Formats: sequence, C-alpha cells, structure tokens
Amino acid sequence: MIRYFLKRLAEALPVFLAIITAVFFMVRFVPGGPFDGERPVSPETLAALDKYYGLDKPLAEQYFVFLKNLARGELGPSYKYGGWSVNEILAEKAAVSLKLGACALLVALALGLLSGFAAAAFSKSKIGAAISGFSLLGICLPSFVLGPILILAFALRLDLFNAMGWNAPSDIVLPSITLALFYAAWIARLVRNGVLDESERGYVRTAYAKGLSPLRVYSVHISRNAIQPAVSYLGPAAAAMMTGSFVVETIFQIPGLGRFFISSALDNDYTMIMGCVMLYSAFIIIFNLISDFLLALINPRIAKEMSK
Amino acid sequence: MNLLEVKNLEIEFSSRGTTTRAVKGIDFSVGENESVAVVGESGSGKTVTAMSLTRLLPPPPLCNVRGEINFGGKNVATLPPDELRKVRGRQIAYIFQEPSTSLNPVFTVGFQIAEAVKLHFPEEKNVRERVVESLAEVGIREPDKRYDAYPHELSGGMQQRVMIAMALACKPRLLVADEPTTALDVTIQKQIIDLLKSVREKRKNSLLLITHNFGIISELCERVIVMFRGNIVEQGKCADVLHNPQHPYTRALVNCIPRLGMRGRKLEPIDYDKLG
Repeated sequence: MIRYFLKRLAEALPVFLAIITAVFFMVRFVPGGPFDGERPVSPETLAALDKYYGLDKPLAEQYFVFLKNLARGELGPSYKYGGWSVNEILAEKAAVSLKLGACALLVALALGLLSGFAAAAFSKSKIGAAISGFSLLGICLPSFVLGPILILAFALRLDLFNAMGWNAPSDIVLPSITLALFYAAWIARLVRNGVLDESERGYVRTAYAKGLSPLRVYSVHISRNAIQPAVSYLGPAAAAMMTGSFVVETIFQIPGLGRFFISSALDNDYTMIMGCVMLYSAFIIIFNLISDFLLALINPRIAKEMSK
Repeated sequence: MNLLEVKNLEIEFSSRGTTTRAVKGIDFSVGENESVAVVGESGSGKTVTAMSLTRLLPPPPLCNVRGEINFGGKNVATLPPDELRKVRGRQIAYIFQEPSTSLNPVFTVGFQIAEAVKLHFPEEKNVRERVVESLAEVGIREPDKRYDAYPHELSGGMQQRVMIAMALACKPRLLVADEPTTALDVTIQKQIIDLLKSVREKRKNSLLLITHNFGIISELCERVIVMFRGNIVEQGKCADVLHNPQHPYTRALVNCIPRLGMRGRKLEPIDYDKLG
C-alpha cells in the first residue's frame, strides 16, 4: 500500500506541472501587467521595471527561468510588495492560515461527527430534525453573514472575545468557528446519511441476530462503514480550510494568505499568483492522499484495490 | 413440550396509512432435534415468520407482531431487550440468504465470529481457538489463516460457510436458515446442504429451514410447513406432503418441481385464480 501512495504521489507530479504551466501562461495572457496602476507610469520606467524583473524576455524563456527557479525552491520577488519575495510572504501568511485552518478542521470534525451521529440516532424524533435543519442552515449561511453575527453576539454583546485582530490566543476562536461551520454541516449530513444508509444493510441484521446491543452495533459495525463518505470529503475540505479564506480573514482582520488569492490576481502579481496556486494544488493533492490513506485503513477492500 | 411453540402469530406492516398483513395468525412448532422446513413463494410470509422468532423485524409502528413465541419455556415475544439478546445467537441462530451482504465488509471473518463467542461466553479464554475450530468444522481449509480474511477475500460459498460457523459457534439449540442456498451456484448449493446435514447429525440441534426449493427439503427435513399468503395451508411429514399434497396450492407447488422423465412436458405455472 505504501508503494501505491508513492505511485500516486509520482502521478500527481505531472498534474501539478500541468496546472502551474496552464496558470503561468493564462495570467500572462490577461490584459494589463503587474505595474499598471492608477497613476500612469512613464514608458521608460515601465521598460526598466520589465527589464529588472525579466518580463521583457520572450514568454518561453520566462517560463524556463520560472521552472529553473522553482527547482531551487525560489518563487521570485513579489511584483506588488517590493522587497518581499513570494517565499517570504507565503511562509509568513500561510503559517497563520494553516493555524487557523487546522483549528477550524478540528472544530468541523468534532462538531460534524457529533451532530451527524446524533442526527442519525434521533432521526425519528424532533431532535434529529432539528439537527438536520441546523446543518442545512450551516451549509446555506455564508461566512460573511455568520462572521458578523458571531462578532455581534460573542464580542460586542457578551464581550468574550476581541471582535477582530490576531494578537491574543483567543482570537482564533471566532474565525475558526466561522470557517468551520460550513464544513461541519457538510460532514454532519454525510455522517447522518451514511449511518442511516448503513443501518439498512444485511450485516446489521446479522449483528443483531448475534445478540449484540444496539450501542455496539452502531459504534462498531455501522460507524466504521458510515464515516467513509465524510472521510473522503475531508481531503478537499482540509485543503480549502488550511489555505485560508478571503472572507473570514477579511472579516476578522487576520494576516493570513486568504486575501492574497484575490489580490494577487487583481494586481497581476504573476509570481504571487503562481505561489498561491502551487500551494493550493499541493494541499489538494496531499490532503486527498491523506484521506485516501485513511479510507484504506478503514476499509480493507479499498486497501486491496489500491495494492493491485 | 416442543422447543419452539408459535401460537396465533400475526405480523402486520404499516406504512403511510396502509396496513399489510404478512402473517395471518399461524400456529406451528419445532421439536427438540427436529428439522422443519417452511416452504412458500415470495411474499408468503415465511421469511418474516423466521425473523419474528427473535424479533429481528423493524419495531412498531412499522411492524406489529402479535401472538406467542414460546421457546424453551419462555415467551420470546414479551422478553425484555437484555433477555432477548441472550436468546439471539446463543439459543436461536440465523443463517441468511445473501452471505455477501450479511457479513460486515470492514471486519475480518474471525473478528465477526469471535464477537458472538465473547458475547455469549465471556469466560471463554481461547476465543480464537474456538473460532478456528468452528471454521474448520464448516469445512474451511486453513482455518487459522482464514480467521484473518475479510469477507471480500472469500467466495460466496465460503462466505456462507463463515455464516454457518458464526451461527454454530455459540452452540444454538435452534438454527434458522433463511434460504441459505438461494444466492449460491448449484454446485455450491449441494455442498452447503450436505454441510448443514452433517452438522445437524453431529450437533443434534433443531433446524428451521426457510426455502422455496422443494428439492432441498426432503434431503434436510423431517417435516414441512406450507405457507401461502400469510397462512399455513398444510403441514406434515415431508414424504406425505410431497407425494400426497392435500391443499390445492401445495399440489400446484409440487407440480412445479421439474422431474426426470418429464421431457417434452411443460412445467405448469400456478394458476392463482383457481386458488381463490
């Protein structure tokens, strides 16, 4: 199975290359350049800037320079934030987003699993309907609504947390919840449906026929099968949470990576765009691998297909 | 006193306001070390009858079961849940129709059998040994290795053997086999029937065999109960019922059995209009 994952990792490399190649040329075909601002820049200055950053060279040559630098781990200078390299920005901002995202992932997992199982256990009563209703609300409620609601309630009214900023340790609480709720709601729905689907299966009848208690049937037999959809959803969800959210980081004024996904594209900050894209695709690839690995641990049939 | 005495058993399913009476007040019994077959077509109520014996049907209001199910002197129909769980698996064990879906895909077969042993024999120290023994008993080669196999690594016939091993591991007094061969190839069917036969000769447990296949009844059972539309229409010794069926439905059913020497004659389908 280890071999399978090494193979998957090797297969991901060409995909990764295809992504960065496509993005590299796409952003350069977009009209405008990194140095077009509101104040017109004189043609001489522009030419000097282009020359300085190597943007006057043919595209193919720029591409190979980019690859050569990438091989050394150099992403180049940001065109927008003078004096900063993309490496430095990513290292500093991604660390913040990663911390926030990891925290949100834990919240989403705990809340999602708990309410998913609860919704299934009480599926026939009003409690289950209420949990399902809340999870639908969690999916529908955009974070730019949820975030301000949480700020109003817990920061301004109850004065438990700072309304925004990234200084005190408790500053992570509200943004984590804001970021996590959507994913928690999805996980809850997947778990609930998984449990309800699985409880109809033949092996459940076998388990009861053996004399097992409902608690054991659910906690051992059903749950291990029922969490599989949620586990496969975890890959893309974790990648999305950990690379930072523009909305959440803006609302709570968090110096994370989220806003760079938007601003770099608006600014035609070519190197920064490449940095964001590469980080995001690497996360997607890695977290999908991790969730597939977890699936293989849970379900030996999947492991068998993998080791073929 | 018979091991199992079912009196006036009624089973109703209700959904969205409509009620279907699947079993309409039947009485039957299974004696100690007796082997009884229940035959009937799909929908005749034979499987739900078997499931109702340990209350494996969905709870009310979806499904209502009335009547007495006396097993070993206790009425299973009114047992509290924890008492009922001591009957399930330990006193009455099941073999189901579809071995591939009846086993949990994410646990080894050994784990699934051991689970039942640990539950009913908590003082047993050599659980693994005992499970391996029961795997060997049902004719699984290299049972020690197969203990750690997952269901998908076994063929359908092997899976059904595992189900039988699981049912037998706790030495039940009554084995309920619900269409144990229907999902299997014909050659495997024969093996499973032979296995059930040899197990019964050795274990002396009672057997309730649910089937629509007359062919396997005379091999395995002493007595047969014929069910039709939720009623028992006929019961008696296998040979009597097969050779001298009294009820028109039984006659029609027996007429559907293909026999040697029937070449050139058509099998007769059952004409339900005549049965009323």
